[in-house]
Amino acid sequence: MLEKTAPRTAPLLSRATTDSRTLIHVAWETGEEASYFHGFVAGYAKATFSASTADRVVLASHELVENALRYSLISQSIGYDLAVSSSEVRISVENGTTLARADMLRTQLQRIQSDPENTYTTELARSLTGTGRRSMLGLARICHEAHMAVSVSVIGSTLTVVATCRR
Amino acid sequence: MVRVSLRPVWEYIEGVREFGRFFCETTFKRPDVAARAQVVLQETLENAIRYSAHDENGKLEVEITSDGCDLRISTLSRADPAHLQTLRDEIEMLRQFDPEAAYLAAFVRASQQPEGSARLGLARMRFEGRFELQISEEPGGHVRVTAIGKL
Amino acid sequence: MNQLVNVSVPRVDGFNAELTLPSLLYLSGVLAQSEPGKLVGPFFEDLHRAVVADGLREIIVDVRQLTFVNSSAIRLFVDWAARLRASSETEAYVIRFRTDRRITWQRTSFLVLQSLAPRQIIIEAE
Repeated sequence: MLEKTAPRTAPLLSRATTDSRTLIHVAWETGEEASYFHGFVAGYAKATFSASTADRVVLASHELVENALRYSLISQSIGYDLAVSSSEVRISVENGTTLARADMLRTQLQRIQSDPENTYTTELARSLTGTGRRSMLGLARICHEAHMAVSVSVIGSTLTVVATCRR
Repeated sequence: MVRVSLRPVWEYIEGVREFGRFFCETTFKRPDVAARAQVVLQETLENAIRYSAHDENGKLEVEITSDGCDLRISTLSRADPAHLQTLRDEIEMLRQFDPEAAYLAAFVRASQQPEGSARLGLARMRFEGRFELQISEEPGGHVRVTAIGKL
Repeated sequence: MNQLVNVSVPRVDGFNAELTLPSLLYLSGVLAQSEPGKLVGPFFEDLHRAVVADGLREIIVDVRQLTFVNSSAIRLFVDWAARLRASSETEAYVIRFRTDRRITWQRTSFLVLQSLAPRQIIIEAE
């Protein structure tokens, strides 16, 4: 069965609360890996936030971007946005997607949010045996380890995954 | 290929420089290209931040693109109008000389003006980085400085 | 009296300067701060004065581990070359730079720097 794919579109910039301000926005074409990106965000976060917030931002950024790179459609752009408002830090990652992939992600997230700790433990164990889904462990880490709220939205063919936490 | 937007704060230069360097190294698999990009990123970012219009919510944007032959590194910022003309004049003046001669001339000028600003950066980008420079104005008082070099 | 031993070495994040007597200066790290002239300039001025006062004929500057500098930092070497060129015959000395030709800024900048004082700046490139 052929997967439905969407025509190429540029990522949409999603916005949160009215006083939200983007600190960094990175947009790039999909590549094989982004180790340079993680180092950049780590340095930036450590220079900008408290140690505990920086750790959460680094973890969530890493996992969201790795997921986007791993599961993005070929030749689709990825957009990363780190924003702050008076009350929260918001990380959003956008990439091109298929309907099936978006549905799978929603299902995974619902499962994680119903029981973050157990899901995290289960996925961690599965990852050690090579049977788990890497994206699921990543999302579980964001929810359970980084204590961030995660949401998924799809507009057209653009998937946006957002992780937020209080400042 | 990649675009980074952030506030024009000096402390972020190192991070963007190293990000750009690693990006080029990973993308082009050539350390020499990465080293040249590193120089251009440092010098253009310094210029953009040092001479930006003072605006807390100002934006600095860095873009790295390539068509397979040329590598383009551009920075977009809100420039202090007084500096913009100086920058144009300097780029125009440098274009009249080959990169090595211009770099030497910049060294001589700096050695003769110990209290003055060095103004080595643009000449350095041309000689060490092997990039040529273009400057253009964009809406909202923004200036884009584009460095173009062969891969 | 040995003036070089009294030269105070600057403390700058990510950058290291080490003075080993009788006349070896070892520079390493990255020097790309916003005003390296203010942070490190006085050190180079003191160094020049001490070398002259001690009557040294040569100082070796090993920069092979100085992996990246901005143009404001390159200016420090230009200023040093200018001081050297302005020295009298009795004060004159040689700076022998030990460089790494694989590091782009060293390969390009030191040859140009040598042009400012060709008899007083020697470049060794490994």
